[in-house]
Amino acid sequence: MKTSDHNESYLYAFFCKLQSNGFGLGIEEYKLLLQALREGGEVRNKKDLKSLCKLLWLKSEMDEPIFNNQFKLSFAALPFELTPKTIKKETGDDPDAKISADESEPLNPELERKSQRKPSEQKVKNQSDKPTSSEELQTNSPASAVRMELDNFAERAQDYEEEGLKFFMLEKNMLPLAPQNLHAAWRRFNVGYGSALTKQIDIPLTIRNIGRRGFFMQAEYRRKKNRNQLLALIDRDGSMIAFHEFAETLLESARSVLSRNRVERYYFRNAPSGRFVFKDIFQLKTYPVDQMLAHNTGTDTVLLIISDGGAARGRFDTSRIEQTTAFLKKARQGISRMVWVNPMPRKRWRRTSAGVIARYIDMYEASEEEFGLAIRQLKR
Amino acid sequence: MAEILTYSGRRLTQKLQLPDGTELKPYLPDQRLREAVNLAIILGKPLLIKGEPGCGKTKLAVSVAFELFERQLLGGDIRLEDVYFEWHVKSSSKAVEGLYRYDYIERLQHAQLNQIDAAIKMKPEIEYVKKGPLGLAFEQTHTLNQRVVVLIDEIDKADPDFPNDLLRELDELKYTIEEVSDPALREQSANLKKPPIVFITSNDQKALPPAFLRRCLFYHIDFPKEDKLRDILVAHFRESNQKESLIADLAAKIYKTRIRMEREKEEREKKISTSELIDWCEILLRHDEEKILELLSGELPYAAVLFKNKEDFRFSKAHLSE
Repeated sequence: MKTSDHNESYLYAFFCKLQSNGFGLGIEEYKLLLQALREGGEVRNKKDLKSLCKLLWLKSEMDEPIFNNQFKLSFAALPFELTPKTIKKETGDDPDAKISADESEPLNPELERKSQRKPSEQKVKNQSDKPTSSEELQTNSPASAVRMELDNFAERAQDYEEEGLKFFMLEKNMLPLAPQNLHAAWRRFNVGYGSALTKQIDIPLTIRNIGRRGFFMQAEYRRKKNRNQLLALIDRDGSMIAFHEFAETLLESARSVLSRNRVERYYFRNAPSGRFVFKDIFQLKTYPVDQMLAHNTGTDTVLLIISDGGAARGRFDTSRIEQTTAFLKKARQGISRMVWVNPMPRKRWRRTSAGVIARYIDMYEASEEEFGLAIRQLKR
Repeated sequence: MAEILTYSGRRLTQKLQLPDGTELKPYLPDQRLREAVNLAIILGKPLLIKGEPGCGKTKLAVSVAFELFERQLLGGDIRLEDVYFEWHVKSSSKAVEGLYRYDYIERLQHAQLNQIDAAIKMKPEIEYVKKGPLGLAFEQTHTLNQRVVVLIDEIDKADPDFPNDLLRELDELKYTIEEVSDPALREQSANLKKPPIVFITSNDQKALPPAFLRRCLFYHIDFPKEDKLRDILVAHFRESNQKESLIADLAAKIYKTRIRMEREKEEREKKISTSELIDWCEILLRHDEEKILELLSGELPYAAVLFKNKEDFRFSKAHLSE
């Protein structure tokens, strides 16, 4: 089967799109779909094909909107009713079948344009894929690589426009820290300590074992468990507006992986003051800082602060720095492990309040790698 | 050429009692669920089913087992427990429990008794192994040379690592009994030509690990559409001597209530489920038709069966509007 056939297959294009959107799909899953197409039930139209793909490739409700959108875009040029020939071409059983303009039955010139554009739109991830006949890709020169990216972007933008979308929707999966990465990070935080034991004797369990065996054999020790409470403090003022969604996503992820009652959240504006924080996102219900800290110490609580620290607007504000460091000093009395996650990239922290604050607390940017380090630091 | 097993979902349309005493209730899956089941059977992958509590996730597996072995079950040749294995996962569950349990106590007892009285012998190692649902299912695929059905219920209740501990067992259909030293007996596997058909349910309380999800097909059961709901209720209450038109009317009213709840409540909040509806109908249909219509002309009667918290009672009038 020639690789160029794969390039022209809509199914493969769709598969690649899903991959680049963070669906953890491998070649096994692609082969599985081909097998299902060959052996499974009838796939008469796009709806059937979509349910089939969903069954095999969609693993969570969360990803459904992206899945639907990508399916719509990838298969827009295919006719509604799928002929056996189209299916054969997709599964590669008929290697000589090439997609021709007649087969895709362009209903109007616009669709025809789309069907010719589609092959070039996929992200060419592995080097062995041959370029399509319509474009000669010279990836050696950076200029042409940039040009290709721009072309891709222009096509995609045009797609959105044609689909009737007048504005761009930032979806959770497009963030550098997508829900999947967040979940994975929190899971690593939550991971138990295997069968490690603490030095405390688990008295009820020991007694139960004595009863079961009829005699005393050994003392049972308590299993080491991760009982950490997460205290999250989120900056929710003007400069953080762009990052509200991100902060909420991060929190939701923590709450679903750790259980809800292990995560407490509070909000502040600009800088965590020494006196009050807010319990709600509209910042109407105040809560005394002292109470928040007292409530949480002693039970192995860890603190996570999410804020740009002035880096978003590039400000250097001494009063903000002072307020923040005073708060940190107070917090450190009761809480041993704390990290700061800054949605702005590290290179933007220089010469802003954030740069100074980063000297008082470990500050991490919101990338997959650094967030992983932050989590590792919170856990011990 | 092996026969191809297919599930039509149309065999369990009324209450049934099997010769071994088990009672089965009607189960009417929708078309896409049927296709999902058949695909799982063909591809040999487990089917992961999610959905609201009470939507019928758990009942699917037994309905598949019934259909695949219908003739033998009704004829009394086999019992349901020979071909259908349920594993209800708890928060304390460990993966190994579904496979086997080594009875240390019994072994210790025998060892001690043997010292006192040499006539009391110890059993061979393997006999202290008590197999769990998955282990038994593997065994049965050899004994019967058939594809049996396994249900792993509420897998998300256990530790987050739990599903990952089952990867090898689900993929290769093999497991090792650590406590047994005989290499021939340690390694247990299912009949690879007749692998068990595995159903896994999850309430979505916790995120499941990606390595595990990759190996499963995934299906979400939605609340049935109005005509499906009517069919389900009719099937359940065929013997109740009530007119079908009355049951259809009930379905329509409840469907309105459900739609209203979907509109006004958050996605994660509880709404009336299929199983609650069936319970509710069961009570309501004990009255005669006149009384039923009278009861329905006001607020929903027996609301406590449908609504489980105070705020939801505001929906008890939804069926009257529009």
